[in-house]
Amino acid sequence: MAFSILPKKEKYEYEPLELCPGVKVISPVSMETFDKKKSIFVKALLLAMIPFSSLAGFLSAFEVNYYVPIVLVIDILAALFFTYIYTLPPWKRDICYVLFFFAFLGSTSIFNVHLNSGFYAVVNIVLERASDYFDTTAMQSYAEAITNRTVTVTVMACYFGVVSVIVLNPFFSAYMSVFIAVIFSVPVYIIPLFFENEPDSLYMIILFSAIFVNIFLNYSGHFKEHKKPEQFEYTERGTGFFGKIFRKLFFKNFDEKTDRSFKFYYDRSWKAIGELMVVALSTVLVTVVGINSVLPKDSFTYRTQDSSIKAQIKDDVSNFLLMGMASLFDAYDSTGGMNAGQLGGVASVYNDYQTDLIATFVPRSYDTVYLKSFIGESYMGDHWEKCEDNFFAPYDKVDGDTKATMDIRYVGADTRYLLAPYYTDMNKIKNLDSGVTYREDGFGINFGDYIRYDFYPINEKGEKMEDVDPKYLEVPDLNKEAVAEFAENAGLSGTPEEIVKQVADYYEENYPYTLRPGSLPRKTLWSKTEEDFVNYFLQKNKKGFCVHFATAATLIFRYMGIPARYVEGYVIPYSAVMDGELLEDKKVSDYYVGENPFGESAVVKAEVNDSMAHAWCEVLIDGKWVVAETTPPSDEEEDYDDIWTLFGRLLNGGNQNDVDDNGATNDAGVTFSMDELSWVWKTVLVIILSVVLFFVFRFSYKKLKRIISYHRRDAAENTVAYYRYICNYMRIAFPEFNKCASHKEQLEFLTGEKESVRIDELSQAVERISYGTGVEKEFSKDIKNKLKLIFREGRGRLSYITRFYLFFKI
Amino acid sequence: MKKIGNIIKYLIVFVLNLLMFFFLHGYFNLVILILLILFPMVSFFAAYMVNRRVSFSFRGPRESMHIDDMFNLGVRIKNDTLFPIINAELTIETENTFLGYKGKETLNIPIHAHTEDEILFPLMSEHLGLLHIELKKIRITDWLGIMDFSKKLDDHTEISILPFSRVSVEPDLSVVNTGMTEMEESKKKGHDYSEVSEIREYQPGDKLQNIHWKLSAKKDELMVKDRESLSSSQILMLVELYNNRSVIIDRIISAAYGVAVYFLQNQIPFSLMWWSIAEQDMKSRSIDNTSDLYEWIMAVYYEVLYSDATMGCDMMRRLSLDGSRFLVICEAKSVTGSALFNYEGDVEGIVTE
Repeated sequence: MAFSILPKKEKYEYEPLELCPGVKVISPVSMETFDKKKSIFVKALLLAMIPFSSLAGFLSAFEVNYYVPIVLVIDILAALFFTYIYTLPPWKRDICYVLFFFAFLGSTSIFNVHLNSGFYAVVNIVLERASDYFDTTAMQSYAEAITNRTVTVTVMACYFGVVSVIVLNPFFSAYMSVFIAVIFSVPVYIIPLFFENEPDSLYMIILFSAIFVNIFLNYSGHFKEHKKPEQFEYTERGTGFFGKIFRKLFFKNFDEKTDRSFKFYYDRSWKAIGELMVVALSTVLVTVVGINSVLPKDSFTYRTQDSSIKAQIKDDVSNFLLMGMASLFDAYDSTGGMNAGQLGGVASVYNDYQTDLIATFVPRSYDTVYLKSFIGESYMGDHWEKCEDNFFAPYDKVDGDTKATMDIRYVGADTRYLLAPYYTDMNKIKNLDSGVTYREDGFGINFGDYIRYDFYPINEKGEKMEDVDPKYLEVPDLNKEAVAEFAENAGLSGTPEEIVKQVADYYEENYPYTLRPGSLPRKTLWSKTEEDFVNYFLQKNKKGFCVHFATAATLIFRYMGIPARYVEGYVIPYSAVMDGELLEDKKVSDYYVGENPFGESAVVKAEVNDSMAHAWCEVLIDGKWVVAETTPPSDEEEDYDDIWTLFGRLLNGGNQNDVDDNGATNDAGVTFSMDELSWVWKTVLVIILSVVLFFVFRFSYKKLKRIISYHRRDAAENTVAYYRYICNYMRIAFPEFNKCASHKEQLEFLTGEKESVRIDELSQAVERISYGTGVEKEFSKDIKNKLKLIFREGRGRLSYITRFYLFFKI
Repeated sequence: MKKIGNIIKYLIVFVLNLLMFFFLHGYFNLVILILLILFPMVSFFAAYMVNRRVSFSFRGPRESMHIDDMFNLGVRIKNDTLFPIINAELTIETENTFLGYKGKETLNIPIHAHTEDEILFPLMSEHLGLLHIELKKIRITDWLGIMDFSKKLDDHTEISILPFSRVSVEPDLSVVNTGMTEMEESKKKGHDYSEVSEIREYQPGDKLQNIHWKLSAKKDELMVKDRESLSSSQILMLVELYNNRSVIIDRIISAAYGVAVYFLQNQIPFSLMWWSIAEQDMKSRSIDNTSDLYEWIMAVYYEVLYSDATMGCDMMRRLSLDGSRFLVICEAKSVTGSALFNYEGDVEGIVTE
């Protein structure tokens, strides 16, 4: 017997097949010289065609310029690499994947800015097209750090191609999956086609050819290498599960000498795949050219007619592009977290900082300018009932010596509502574009319209009323307890102005501001409770944004006997004025008449975005509605939802704007910082530990299970289990052991045919225990002990390394 | 089942694209639709054309082979068309007509466009006999795996497998020599199994048993069968065409071949005889050279084997009324007599008593 350090795997040997009894095929049947390199090349070409043509077609539809040959070469190289490594043994393949991963990671960190910019460039291009298509100017756009789109889109396309190849390769190599190929390539065309943009014919030809060849290979099955190295594998008919049954039923007189038949099956032919590609390409080319000549793309007017489904979803698509994912949830828009008095449906607010309106006015103080949009008069639990009274009447009639004018252009704000500064003369609101003056029943506003508001900032001559509508003092019974508790805890007392300040201070100390307070728990199938918005905020959640603070404050003020109401709208902080544009061509006198605390001022055009949408409370003091601001300032930093920026910062060891000790800024160069990477190492460590624990557990479980199997009550079963373990051990240690066909031969192998061991007796005993019943316990134990001794001796002839290996293996 | 699966998959792709076309009204989808309709037609046409134009032929050894000789059998495929086929099934039947062994193989092969390919089978036969290899049928499946086109083929090739090229048999001739005189006696008694070369008029001295009585009655004069003159020491060697599960016929023929070669080398005249079940007659051939020997083997290959180990010998005895002696090549210990040689333990050359 030869003993190896490690158990040797049997070398593959070709087993001759008989064409008929006595006629042997002594070496593998061959048809063509099997060329692995050509085979890999052809398959890689096919693999590269799909992601390349899908992305190139998409980009061509939007007429994006980039370096196409570079992308093509990268895709082909990636496909070659991954197709090749897929043919390697699994452990080599895994090493290659790991090495590639680090290379990919490194290159991503170097090019992350380009990648980001390229991605955003494509998004912006699509959104620009969408803007044209939907005829709107209010589409978002993303900042591109590098403006050279040719370069950035090329980089992005290269990465996209490589990732696509990595994802597609296993499905191609193992299954030649048509489903995956189609899902990967065709749906991406939905976007340009929706906007009536067609891809270039060249990429269509490449894509269709690749998909059809994919279909042919999938249907034929000839795309995988056989496990054996021969070009033709063979199977004997009638030896499979159903074949055996079929043979037993219908071929009872089956003669092995005369009735055997075989089927030879070739794995794949690079030549056939290559020829198929040429045929598919030619057919598609001829067809596309033919269709183009008979029905050119431009004259296919059917594509400009919307289908009924498309017409139905057009608005939703437009909203989605305008407002993002928020447009899909909770059935109402979220504009800075507000939506005409709706409460509780917004779990978190993500500002896009896109311009909602542009205000042209003359600033007169550092104070925030409030623009009223919606007034809520009655709290209904999940919303505020809209106040149908005029914004500033009947308790006020606005007038004063100081008169101002503000022109507001609606860019992204809700056009259903006015945006009136305090104290606007509601009878003089005018649409500058249409020239129509506001009536009590309102007028239509379109995006881009300029609405002029004339207002009296001080309103010292406004008419003050004495009677208060009781609705402005109503607190629902459901909320009284919560509100009373708040009032007691906050120690509210004094004048209305003092109470407003006390509420604001108490909020600041005990109720942190957050844009992500979570949504209000509603009644569901599994939760029977439904929370009240105000009670939940005041007593349980204790955090929120302006809507929460304003709603609760309104009820608190009412509880304290101060008429109050809920208001939504926009604010123009002084920072927006500072960032605004001075309009030197506009006359100040057209926008401001009266004394200006700033003295000399100018007309300013300020951009107001969605982060400036706001909700507040207003209280009636001395017959005049005044702003009662109670929302505490925000300490939150905005999350970066740009993962590349986050990753880049991580690898950069900090923010790109950081300044080091010498005053130099941290540019886009990579400097690895162990502090920033510590979480990576910890994560990797946890993963490694988990894997190790898993294998330890599995190993222990197997060992325990095996040991238990031959320490049970039945001694005969124990002996059989132990003998089975010996055989398993020997099979792995010595492949020749598999040739032993009987217990006797196995024991002879084990003992090395030692004369001192009575093989015959022992093998008979083993057979008796294995197949007999009622075997005596002592007898079984005795045989088991003998087997232990024999096994120990047999095992002793193996090297320690082999035994160590087998200890873990079995 | 696979065909139905392929059709369903194709239909799913078609329907998905159709839905996309109805939704988007895209020119892109229109082109795909047309291609999806067109490609099956192209696929069917390609398969049909290849089926019509493809031809197959054998390329095999021109000479006879011996047992355990390696030889290559090539199946040539010629496709004149520009269409490749990735799924073609070629049915080949292989038969050793002498032993009655059959095999049927199906080869799944690609057929390349406008080219001639060859499938190579490196073969070796463990038994002698006549290998008849026939191309039965080609079935071509289109690219989409939906439609099959079949065509019957009738090309075949035959390869003779002779006994081992070197068979070493050294018979003990002393036994043979003793028996010759008795054989001569049996001839004198009229049992002469030499071949008839011609029929001529009676001449004084001709044996009475050679008179062709039927012809004589017709012609109204005595006519005799003129037999090939045999040397006085010519050996009659009967070969039992007996076969069993261990294919003993291989060794019997090989032994007979070996002895024949020995006799030829030592210029010992002999005839080979065998019992033909088909003709129900004892057949004989005088062997003067290796060509005669080769012809004898070819003739035997067309005979039917029997399962009675001593049938030939029994028939021989029945026909030879005076109990003449002859050399029989048979299974060991099946016939009593003096052993001339033993070949591989289970075949003997026995001189009958």
